[in-house]
Amino acid sequence: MAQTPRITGSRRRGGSQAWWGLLALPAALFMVFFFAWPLGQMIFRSFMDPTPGLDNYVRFAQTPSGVRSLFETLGMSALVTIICAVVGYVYAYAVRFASPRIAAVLLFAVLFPAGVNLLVRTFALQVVLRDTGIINQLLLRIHLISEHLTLIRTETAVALGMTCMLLPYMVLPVYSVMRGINPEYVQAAAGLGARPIVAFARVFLPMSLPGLYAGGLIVFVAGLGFYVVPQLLGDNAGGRFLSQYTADYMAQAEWGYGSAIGTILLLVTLTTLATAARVLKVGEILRQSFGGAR
Amino acid sequence: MTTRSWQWLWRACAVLTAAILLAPILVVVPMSFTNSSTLAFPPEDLSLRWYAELLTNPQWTLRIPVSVETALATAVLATLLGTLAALGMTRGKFPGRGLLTALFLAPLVVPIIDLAVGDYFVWALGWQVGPVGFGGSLAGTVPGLVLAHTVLAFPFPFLTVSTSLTTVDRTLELAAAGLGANPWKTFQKITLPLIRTGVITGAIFAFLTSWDEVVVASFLASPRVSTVPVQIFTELRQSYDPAAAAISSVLLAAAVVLVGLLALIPLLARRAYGRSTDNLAEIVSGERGVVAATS
Amino acid sequence: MAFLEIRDLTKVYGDKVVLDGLNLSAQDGEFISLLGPSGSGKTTALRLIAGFLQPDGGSIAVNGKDITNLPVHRRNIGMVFQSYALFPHMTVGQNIAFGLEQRRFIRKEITKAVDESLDMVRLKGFASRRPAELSGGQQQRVALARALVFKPQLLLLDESLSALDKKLRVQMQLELRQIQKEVGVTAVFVTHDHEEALTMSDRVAVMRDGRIVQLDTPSNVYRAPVDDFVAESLGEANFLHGVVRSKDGSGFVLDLGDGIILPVPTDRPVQVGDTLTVAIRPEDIELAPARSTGSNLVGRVRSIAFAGNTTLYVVEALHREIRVRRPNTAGVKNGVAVDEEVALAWDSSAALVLA
Repeated sequence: MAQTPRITGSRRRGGSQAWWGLLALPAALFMVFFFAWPLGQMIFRSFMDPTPGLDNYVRFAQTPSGVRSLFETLGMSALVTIICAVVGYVYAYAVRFASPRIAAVLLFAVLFPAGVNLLVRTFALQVVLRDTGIINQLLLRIHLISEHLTLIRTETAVALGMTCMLLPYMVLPVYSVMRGINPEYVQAAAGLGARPIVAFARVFLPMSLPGLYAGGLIVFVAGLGFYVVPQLLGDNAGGRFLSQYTADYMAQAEWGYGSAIGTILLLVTLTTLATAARVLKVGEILRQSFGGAR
Repeated sequence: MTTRSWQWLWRACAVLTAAILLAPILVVVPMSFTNSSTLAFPPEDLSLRWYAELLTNPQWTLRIPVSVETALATAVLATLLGTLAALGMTRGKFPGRGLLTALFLAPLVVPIIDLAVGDYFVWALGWQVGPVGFGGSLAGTVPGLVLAHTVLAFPFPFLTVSTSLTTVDRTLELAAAGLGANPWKTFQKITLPLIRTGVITGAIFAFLTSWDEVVVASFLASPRVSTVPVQIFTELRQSYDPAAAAISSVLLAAAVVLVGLLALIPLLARRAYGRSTDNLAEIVSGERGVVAATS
Repeated sequence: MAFLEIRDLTKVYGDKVVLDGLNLSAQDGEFISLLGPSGSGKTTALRLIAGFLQPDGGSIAVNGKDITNLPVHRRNIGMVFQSYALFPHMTVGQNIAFGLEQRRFIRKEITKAVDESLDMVRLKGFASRRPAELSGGQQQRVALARALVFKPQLLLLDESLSALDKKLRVQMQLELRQIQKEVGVTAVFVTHDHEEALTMSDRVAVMRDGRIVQLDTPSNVYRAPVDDFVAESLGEANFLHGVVRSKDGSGFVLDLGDGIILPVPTDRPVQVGDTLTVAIRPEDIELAPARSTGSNLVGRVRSIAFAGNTTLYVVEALHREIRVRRPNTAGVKNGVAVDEEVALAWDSSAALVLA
C-alpha cells in the first residue's frame, strides 16, 4: 500500500493550513503599503533630504535643545511610569481585595475615561487647571490665595495629564496578575509566621511584579510618543519632547530634519521594546491581560 | 491580610484616584450649557447656545460628516482585514508567522507622530521606487484619512477576533463539514456566529480609534476636508470657547454609549450561550481596555 | 486538659451556620482526621484553627493557651494546603527557610534546619530547585517540610493528598504518618476520602452539617457507626431494618420480615420489640448457590460488575437491593450468574448495630 489513510489525513491538514494562511495576505499587503512603507519613507527622508548623508543627525547631535529633548522625553516617560506604577499598584490592590460590587465600580472608574476621547480629557484638565480654571476660582473665592496659581503650562501639568491618560494601562495588567495569585500563598506566609507587611513584601509583591513590568513597559513606550497632552498642557517655551520637535520641523517644511527626529523617536521606542522583551519576557503577560479577554 | 485601617487607607487612595480621573470629565458637561462666551464653573445663564453653534457654524457642520464617514469606513475596512488576518494567523501554519504578527501589532507601539510624518510624504506623492511609481493625491481626502486610520485601528479587530477564535471548538466546523456544508457555509453558519462577539468588539474599537484620532488626521487634513478632533485641537490651542465644551460633551455622550455597548456585549453573549453570569468586575475587566494608548 | 481543646466553635455566614458548636480535643502527638462531604464544615474548622477565619463563637486552645484571638502569624501552627502554596518565586530551600526567617533564626541554624528537614522528607540536594521543577509528590513533601521545620505546636493538613494520583497517594499516606510520628506533632487532617482517614488516623471525626457526628478510632467508627450516615461515610453499606424478637446474654435476634431472622451479637442494651437498623458491609457478605448452604436468606442476582480486584453483585432480597462485593482471586470462579438464585451469608459479627 503506497498510501495509508494516516498520511492522506496529515497531508490534507497541511494543505488546508497553508490555505488558511492566505487569508492573512490582504492585511499583510495592506500593512506593507500603508504602514511599513510610510515609516520607511520617513527614515529614507531623514538621510536624503536635503542632501544625502548624516547631516540631519549631526545637526541633531550638535543642537543642545535637540539632545535635551531626547532626555526630557525619556525623563518624563520614566517619571510618569513611576507615578503610574505606584498609583496603579495601590489602585489594582484595592480592586483585587474589594467586594465584587466595589471592584466593579472601581474598574469602571478607570476604564471609562480610557474610552473617552483623549482631547476631551485633556480639555477637561485644561478647564480645571488654567489660570481662570476651577481650582484657581475656588481657591480665590475662599481667599486661600490672592493671585492665581500657575498650574497649567508646567511640567507638573504634563505629568498629571499623561498619568491620567496612561493609568488604565498600568492598572489592568497589574490587576490581572494579582487576580491570578491564589490567596493561599499569602495565608501560607502568615501561617509560617510572617506579619501582614512581611507576607505582602516577600510573597504578594514579588508574585505581582510581572504585572508591574508589563504595565510599566506599556506606559513607558506609550509615554515616549505622547504629543497632544504635552502640546496642550505643557509650556511651549520649555520642556519639549521629540514628538513636538518632529511636528514643529514638519510644520516649518524641514522634512529631512523633522524625519530625523521622528526616526530617533522610533529608534528609542523600538530599542526599549526589544530590550524589555529580552529582559522581562513580558509577551505572555501582555497577552494575558489584553488579548485574553474571556 | 491587612488590618482594617490599612484596608481603609488603601481604599481611600483608590477612591481619590478614581475621583481625579473622573471629575474633570464630569465637570465639562455642565459648563457647556452656558449662554456666556467664556467658560465658568458653575455655569452662569443656562442655555443651549453652543450646541446650536455646533449645528450652524460651518466650522463644525463640515467636520462632523467627514469624521462620521471616516470612522465608519475605517471600522468596516479594519474589521474585514482584521478578521481575515486573525483567521489566517490562528489557523494557518507558515514560515514567518511571528514576524507577520509583529507587523500586525506594530501600530500599537510605533509613535503616532512617526506614522503621521510618513503618511504625510506617501499620501501626497504615492509609492515610488526610482522612476516607477503609483498612487498619491490622497492627502486632504476622506479615502486618505480612512486608509491612514485603518492602519491604526487594524490591531484591535485582529486581537479581539484572534481571541474569540481560540475559544472556537474546531470539531463543530468539522461536524458541519461532515454534514455536507461547504467551507463558506461552514464559516457563515458555524464560525461567524461563534466569533461574532470578537468581531463586534473589534469594530467598535476600530470606530473609536478613528473617531478620536487627531495627530495623523491633522497632518493629512486640508482646510476643506478635516475632522472634528482636528478642529477641537485647533480651538484648544487658541481659545477656551464653550463650543469646545459642547462638542466635548457630545463626544462624551458617544463614548458613554459605545463603552456601555462594549460592557454589554459579553453580558449578552453569556446569556445567549446560556452561561452563568459572573460578577460584574469579571465582565468589566474581561473587556479590557484594548483602547490605544496613543496620543 | 487535652493538648488541642476546641469548645463550641461556631461560624456563621449570613444566615447559614457552617460550624455549629464544634467540640474537639486531641492529645499531644495524636493524628485526628476530619472526615465529611463538602459543606460539612471540616475545611471551615481547619481554617478557624489556623486563624484564616474568625469564629462567631467558641474557643480554641493549644497546649493550655487560648489562641482564639491570636493573629495567624503568631499561632505557631504548620499548615499544608491542598494546592501546597509553595512560593513559586523562591527555591525549595528558601521556601523551607521562610518560617525560620520569620522567627529570626541565624543563617547557620537556618541552613542546618533546612538540610535536616529535606533529609527527613527524602529530598536531599533539592534545596536550589524551584517548586515548578518538582513532581506532585515532591512538592507535597516540600510543603510538609516547610510546615514542620519551625517545630510548630500543631500541624494542619487541608485535603493535602487529594492532588496526587491514587498510587502515589497511598504511598504518601504512609510516609506522612511516619514523619508525623517521628516528629511527634499533633495533627489535624481534613479529608473527604474515608480510606485515607481510616488508614492514617488515631481517631476519625465524622462531620455533617457543621457538627461532629462521631469521633472514635478508625476501627470503632468503621465497626460501630452510630448511624447510617456514618456507616455510609466510611464505605459502602447495606442497611437492614427489623424488630427485636428475643435476646439473651450474647445478643439478640432480629426479625427482618418474610420469616428471615438474623442473630446479632451485641452488648448494646435493647428491648424486645424495638425497631433497629443494622449495617452490613458488601465485602462481608458471602455468596453461594442457593441450595448449597443452610442460609435462609435467598435472593436473585440482578447484575454483576467487574471492578478490578473485586466484583460487585447486586442481589434482590428482602424486597430491596443488597450489594455484595467479593474479591477476585486468580483462577477462582465465583460461579454465580445473573438471574440465578443465591444464598447470602455473613459472620454474625459483621452485622453492625446502628444507634
